[in-house]
Amino acid sequence: MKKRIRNLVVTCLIISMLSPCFGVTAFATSGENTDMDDLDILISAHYFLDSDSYGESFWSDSISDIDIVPLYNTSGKITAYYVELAEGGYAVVNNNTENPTTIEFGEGNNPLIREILDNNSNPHIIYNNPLSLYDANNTTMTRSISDQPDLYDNYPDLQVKDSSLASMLSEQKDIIESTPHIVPYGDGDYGFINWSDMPSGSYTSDNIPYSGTSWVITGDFDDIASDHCGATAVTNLANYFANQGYSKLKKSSNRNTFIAVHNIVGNGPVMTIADKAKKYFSNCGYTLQYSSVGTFTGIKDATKKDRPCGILLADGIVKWHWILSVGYRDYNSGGDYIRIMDGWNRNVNRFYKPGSGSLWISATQYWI
Amino acid sequence: MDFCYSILDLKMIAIRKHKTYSLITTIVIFFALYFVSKIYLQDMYLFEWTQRHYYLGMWIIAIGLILGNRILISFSISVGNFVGILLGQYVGDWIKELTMSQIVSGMDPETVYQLQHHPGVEIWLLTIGIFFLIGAITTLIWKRKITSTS
Repeated sequence: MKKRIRNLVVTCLIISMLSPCFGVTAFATSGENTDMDDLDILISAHYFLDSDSYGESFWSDSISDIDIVPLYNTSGKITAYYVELAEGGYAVVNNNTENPTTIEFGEGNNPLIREILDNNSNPHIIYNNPLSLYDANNTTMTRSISDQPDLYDNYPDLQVKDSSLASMLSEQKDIIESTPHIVPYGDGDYGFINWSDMPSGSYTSDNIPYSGTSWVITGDFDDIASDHCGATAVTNLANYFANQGYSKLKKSSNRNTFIAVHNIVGNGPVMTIADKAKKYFSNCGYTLQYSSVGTFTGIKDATKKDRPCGILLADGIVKWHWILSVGYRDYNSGGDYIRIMDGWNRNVNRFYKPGSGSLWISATQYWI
Repeated sequence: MDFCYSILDLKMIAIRKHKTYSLITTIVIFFALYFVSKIYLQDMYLFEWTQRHYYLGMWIIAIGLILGNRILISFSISVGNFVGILLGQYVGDWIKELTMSQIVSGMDPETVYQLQHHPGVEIWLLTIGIFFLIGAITTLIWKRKITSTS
């Protein structure tokens, strides 16, 4: 609670101090649309969460997922957005492009909002201030605060234009939007789907017992390797089997395991990793067996036998990427999805729909 | 007379000699670069990569072309391989540096990884392809010239 109050105080100070500091002329907002889009929200959240001016940065260098939830007033207008980073850190951003400040921010999450989100997948959150909020869609959770002053009554400055902050963040947005993402071939992504973007409906699913596996990502080894998704996939394979009891596969640290694997696999692009994985396992005293998998059914069968699969995808002629399959989702309405460790995010909460977004070149199941 | 060579025989001997020299030169070029890469240039992305992947068998193609009397094309591939590795390494480094300058804090790791991509292999293959075409076109023009003069 102390932290939240501190955050609130800091934010209020920011709101009250920024204007005079930057010589902002305060006047009523124009009639133009001042609603924020996702990029506005993220830039604002990033500006405050990553700012060292407030003692510490709450913005992680590797963000795997970001939740953005609209917050309303009692009239149904979106007055703010709640931003929560999967790695910890949150901000409530004022929905006003002319004053893109944050109302509160800090590490972890806002427990009241988190509680609402955990209890209702489709909430309508009324946000009056950091300590006064409730879900209008859930009467059981509604607190007796609905008659309290709304956000703009509490903080009238939020409706006041802050030209300096707005132009600074607008410049950042322009830079990001004008930055061409140079990707020599392909459409720039492999079509992986986040957990939250998966279709609704009933499905059957299964996973290999990956719990407790220490996943590594390409970003961990940027300084010692290049185009190293193949080596990263083999390291994750080794870590998975190490977690299954084949402990000699893991060196003293993930980095040392990667170095040992990378000495065999090398930098990418690599067309095959099975033989190299087998060599690494053999060096550690285990016999890795593998066989080719050509269909989604093959991936399902492998998952049922607790066997991860190394999958090579192509998003262009020479734009390839190695991932590991750790499970699947088979929708009753049709739609096959492979649950993956994509080598970029340190979790297995992403999916690949075979043939969608990138080309399935090959797949190999592994077991000892 | 039995001990006299005909003009045709002399031509064949000359071609064989030429082939032998070409074979030796090609093998030396490929193996020299291979060992230099293996011993001294392991920390350079493309030198290490091409050495690790045995130039993707380019040397076999080059030797095969010599044996099939396509010496100029083979020579083009050998030179293309060398030039391609140099270009791929240094131009690739430059492109990678450019794309990496676009990385900003908070960017998703997938984009970061793609912006860190070293395009050396693509440049190397493209250079070999261009040199192969130059060799093939030169051979074609040269053959036509010989045919028209004879």
